[in-house]
Amino acid sequence: MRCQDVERLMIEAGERELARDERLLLERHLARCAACASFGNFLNELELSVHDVPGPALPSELENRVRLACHEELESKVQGRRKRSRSAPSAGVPWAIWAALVALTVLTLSFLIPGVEAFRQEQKITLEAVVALLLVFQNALMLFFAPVIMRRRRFSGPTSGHWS
Amino acid sequence: VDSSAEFDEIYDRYKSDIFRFACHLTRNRVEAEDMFQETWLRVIRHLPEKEDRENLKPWIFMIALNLHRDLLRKKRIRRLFLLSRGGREADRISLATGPAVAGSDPALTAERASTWRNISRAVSGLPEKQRRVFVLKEVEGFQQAEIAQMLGIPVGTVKSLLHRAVKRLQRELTPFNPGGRKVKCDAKMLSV
Repeated sequence: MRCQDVERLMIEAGERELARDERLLLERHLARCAACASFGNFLNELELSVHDVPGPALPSELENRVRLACHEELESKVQGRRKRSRSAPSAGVPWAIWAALVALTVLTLSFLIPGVEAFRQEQKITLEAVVALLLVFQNALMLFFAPVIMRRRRFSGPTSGHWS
Repeated sequence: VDSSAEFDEIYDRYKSDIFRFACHLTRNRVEAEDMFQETWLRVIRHLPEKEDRENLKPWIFMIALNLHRDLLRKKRIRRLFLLSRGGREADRISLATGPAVAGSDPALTAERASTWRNISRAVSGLPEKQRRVFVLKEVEGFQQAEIAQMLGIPVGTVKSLLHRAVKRLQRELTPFNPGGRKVKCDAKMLSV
């Protein structure tokens, strides 16, 4: 075992229980190597000194100043969260969108059923069938983009803000 | 943090550790105080939810470490543009300013203060990376694996840095240690 490994093992011994063979190797090496024994003594003394003596004291003025600053930061954080939750519009879909969707669905069905029936019987695309398909497409687009439009309006500021 | 009481509990538990760590890292009172304040403000801003607060101490120390890295980067840039004239001597911190242990013998206290002064001077002289690892391990009591995680380096590197730090401290501190003597390693003895 090299001295370097022994020294590292001694440092590790402060953190974990050494295995039996590690301990034996260490003891045998230390009995014959004065340099490593000296390192071990130094390490012990250093650890004791570091743990024994208190470090720099936290000035009470700084402690109070930082505590106050943190309380202020905390307060503004909580207020900001409250403000956001107050100003946020209701999560539900506005009635205007529901009405538009219902109207479009009724129109689609009333055009779609005769159009599809005609297409099935005559095997050709009629004007009604085309209109029905267009309405279906429009409905799908509306359903797809409604949440995006709502979100954009929600975050566009207080003046252009709310659906209600 | 949702309430001041909750914050106060965390603050009271770790404030001294963080200040001591800031002092060791910066070696400058003004910088240590700034770093201490900024660390706690960041804690307020980014503190995880209650259920994710198992490793709070390493997390707070990591914030301090990141702040110190930023500080060093800024210093390097300032030095690059020759704007820095070096810190004022008055701001240099003496790490041996800890209060005397209540009820202890004055002679013992003085001896401890002197020992600590020597150690802190030697620790201050360590290279940046070695100092970080040494302080985290020996002063703050973190495990080597925790330090590796905090610094984002392999455990082997932590071991190596720590070993080099202790060796260097031994070289520096031997003159202050009356019982200590320099012993040269005999290569012939290494066969064991």
